[in-house]
Amino acid sequence: MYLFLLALWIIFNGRITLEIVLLGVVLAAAVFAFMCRFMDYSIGKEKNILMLAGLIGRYALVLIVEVIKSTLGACRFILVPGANPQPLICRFTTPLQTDQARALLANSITLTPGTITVSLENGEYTVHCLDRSMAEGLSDSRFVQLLLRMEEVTR
Amino acid sequence: METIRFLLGTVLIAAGLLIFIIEILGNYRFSYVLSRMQAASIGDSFGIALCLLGAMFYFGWSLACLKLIFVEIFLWFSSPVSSHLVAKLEADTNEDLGSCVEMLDMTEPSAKEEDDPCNT
Repeated sequence: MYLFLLALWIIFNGRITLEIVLLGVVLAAAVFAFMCRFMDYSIGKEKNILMLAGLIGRYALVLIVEVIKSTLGACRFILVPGANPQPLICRFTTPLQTDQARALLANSITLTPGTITVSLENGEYTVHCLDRSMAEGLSDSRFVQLLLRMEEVTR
Repeated sequence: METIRFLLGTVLIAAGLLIFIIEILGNYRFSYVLSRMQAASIGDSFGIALCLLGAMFYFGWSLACLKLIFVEIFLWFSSPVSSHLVAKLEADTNEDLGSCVEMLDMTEPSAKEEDDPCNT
């Protein structure tokens, strides 16, 4: 998060000079200290995120691929007159343990066209799917497998 | 090089606009609110991504390009939250949800038995 804040400061400034970078280092440290004190952030958690960088990158790639595939699938239902989707609301559980992983999965499902997370309570997902075919394999998707690996690394 | 960048940017922005047009068609094609939201999410996730990617090609590798990457990241984090809230509102307030859309329970039977307080 510290590096993210620093990058944000530099990007919003629009140019890179020594004084902008030094001021950014100080300000990002101050904001990060505030977040550690009041918002449940810590240096240990930041180290965990750095350890997960590779998996996070893979997760982002999988998400982009899934968004493209689902977009094409949803476009087919819109553009082909004979293709009538069978919408349904399905409930399923996953083996994910942490709230962060569950929330990330819920966000990814909603971001993927054709599926929207309606609710997430005690690890049970309620998801609206545009068609029955989109509900298949939701509980053991590649997202879930990657998130389980992330949980193993940080455990 | 400039021409290739311009062409790539134009193609990507045109593709993004096409996705937005399909999204609008989808809003008229589907009758139920949650299905319409699915059509709307096409533009929210992929249409806007294509447009921003096209704009990145216009700017080239610069701080403006990085700004657009951050815009995309913020959008992809915040857009699902609002979609989820609208969907939850519909599911919570529609008393006749079962007749509008099919319900399917895919929770594992073993997990349900463990949670069942009557199961001794």
